[in-house]
Amino acid sequence: MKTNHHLRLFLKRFTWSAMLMLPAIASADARTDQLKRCLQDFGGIEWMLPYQPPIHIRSCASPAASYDTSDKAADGRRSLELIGELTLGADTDRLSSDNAYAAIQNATFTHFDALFRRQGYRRTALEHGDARTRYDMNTLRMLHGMSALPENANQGTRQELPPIPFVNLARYVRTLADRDVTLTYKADMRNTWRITLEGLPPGPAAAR
Amino acid sequence: MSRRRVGFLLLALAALPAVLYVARSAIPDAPPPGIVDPAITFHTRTHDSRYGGIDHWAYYGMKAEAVAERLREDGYVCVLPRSSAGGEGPSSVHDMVCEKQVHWPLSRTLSVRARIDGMRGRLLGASATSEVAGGEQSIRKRIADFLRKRGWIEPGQLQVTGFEVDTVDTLARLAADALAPNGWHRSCDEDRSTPACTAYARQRRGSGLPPLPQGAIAAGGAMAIASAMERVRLLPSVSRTANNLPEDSLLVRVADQKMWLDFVGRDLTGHALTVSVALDSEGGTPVQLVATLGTESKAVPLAGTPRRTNSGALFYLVPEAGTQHPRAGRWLTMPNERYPGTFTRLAEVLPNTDPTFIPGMVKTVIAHMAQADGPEERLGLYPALHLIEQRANALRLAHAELWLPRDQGNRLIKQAFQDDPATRAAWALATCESAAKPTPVIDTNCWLRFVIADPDAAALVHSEVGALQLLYAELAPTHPLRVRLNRLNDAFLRD
Repeated sequence: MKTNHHLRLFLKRFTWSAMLMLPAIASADARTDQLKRCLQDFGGIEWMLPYQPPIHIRSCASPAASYDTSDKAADGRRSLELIGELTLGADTDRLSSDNAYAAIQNATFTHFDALFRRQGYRRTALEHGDARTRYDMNTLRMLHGMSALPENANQGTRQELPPIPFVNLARYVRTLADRDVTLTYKADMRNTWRITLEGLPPGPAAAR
Repeated sequence: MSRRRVGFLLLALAALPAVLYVARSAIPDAPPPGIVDPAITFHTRTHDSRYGGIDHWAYYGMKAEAVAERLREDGYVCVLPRSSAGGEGPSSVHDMVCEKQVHWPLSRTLSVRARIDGMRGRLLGASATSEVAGGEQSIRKRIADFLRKRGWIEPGQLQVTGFEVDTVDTLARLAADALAPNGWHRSCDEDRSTPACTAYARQRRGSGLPPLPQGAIAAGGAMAIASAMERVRLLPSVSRTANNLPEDSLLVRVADQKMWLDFVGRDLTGHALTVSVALDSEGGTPVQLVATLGTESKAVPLAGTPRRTNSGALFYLVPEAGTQHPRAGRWLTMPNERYPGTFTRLAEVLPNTDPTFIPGMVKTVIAHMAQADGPEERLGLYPALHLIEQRANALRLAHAELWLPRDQGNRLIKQAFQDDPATRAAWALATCESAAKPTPVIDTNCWLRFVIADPDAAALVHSEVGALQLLYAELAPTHPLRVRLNRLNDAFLRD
């Protein structure tokens, strides 16, 4: 049922929101202030989260501020960890799980790629992952309900299917105050992403 | 008698008052019998104490049995009330006569005549007389007049007034004092013998009802108002009869977009007393008290307590629609997906609510469902279309179609969210787009009506869709986001 699906999403979102709030002992307004201070320390990046998938900020760390983490970043370094739901809305349901995953990753990358390039960053590297699930032999046996697979059986069918690519890493560079600042976007795990900056000038960075 | 003995006797006599005073002070103070609130003692301190002290403790609406019992304690013999208005019947007024014979310093008969409401058995008024045997010119009568002039015996006639509420300020103080969460009535009505209450009683006997403070007066919740007023003999202006209303519903008067609880009473001098308490929709919180005496009124701000569920969530009080007086005020809680009954109740109550209260409730409900839980929303980190769809999903989860039919909802949403095009757009999306599988469908007629009726909100959606289509243009045409955005854009193209 669509309602159950959205209810699950609603509850999952609520659960994630609640989990993010667990370590925080400050009030809701204090957390907002913490996040704001941290995000403002990213070399002038004007942050915006994607339209879809629903993504939250899991943690943020700069030398001067932190959000939902006890770690402060070293001088010149910034770290932003994101976590999201594996959905792009109702139209995702038509896709297989592998294709849906790739679609989610590509949508997320498209958003942030445009964001970083708008902020003056130049992309220097791109790496892709494969969203197609490939099973090992034991898993294949279990899935096929066979105690043993013949050597030349069709166990390789799935392995021979083309990859379903998605961007799982991108690097950018920008010159700021005569220094090269490197930005790395990485799909960390299935539903988390990490954005790090290296080489920022010491102290709070000025706004762009 | 020797001089020494005379001296000792005189010393003893001189010390006697001091001894009596010390002994008196050592005995724990207790309110005089028959007086529930020792503050009343202060306000009736100048009243005559004879005739059983009736002018101290009698009050309008007092039970006839209680009047008789008090007088019996003072030696009166009370006879059954006999009708003085002719005939028996629930509307008749009876007289209860209590008499007592006293012999010192002059033999006389003391009579207290109490007018009793035949239907309820309650005191409406009272007077007292003192008669001596013999005619007007008799020696006994002359002696009695002499003694009365000097106040050595009771007055020949006494009109019982009791605690007279003769100013609107007194009435406001009486009502405010009754509402106080930690006041005398709440803390000491049941057990007045505790040390704290004994001290409290002494204070109230010495200074009477507390004056009205500056600013809002602390008060309890809406559900405690009636019992608080009853303690000072102010009863609801309309009695509650057997009906199908929920037990916790309140009978309210609706005026000036406010809900009021009205209470009436009297004192023994005939003053008609009215106290009204205004309730805010949020929590049913008491926010104002208006005391009326004759043509004068006095308004006092209240800082009441909102009603909450056991889990701390607020209740909301809304009056039913109509022009009848009074009307039922019903309680609502915000819809919660863990408790499906909250949606059903909203669907039952809101459509039948007074129209002036619906926009506020709708706004509250939608704001509750779409509340920004996280710092990301508060910092505005999401695109507008993300928030619009989030709110639309919340409205669907809240089954808004159950408690806000579409046409009514369109008008109310537009009125309640004049400065919030995103919520207006969310409402349109929730009502025009069905959550069909595998592909949601937008009712183009519905969407067209929205575009015509609310061009600002429609323009917001259209511009958001256009910007996101540009952003995701390089994704495959079958990508879910392109499919979604194309569907939204097509809805505008079909207009």
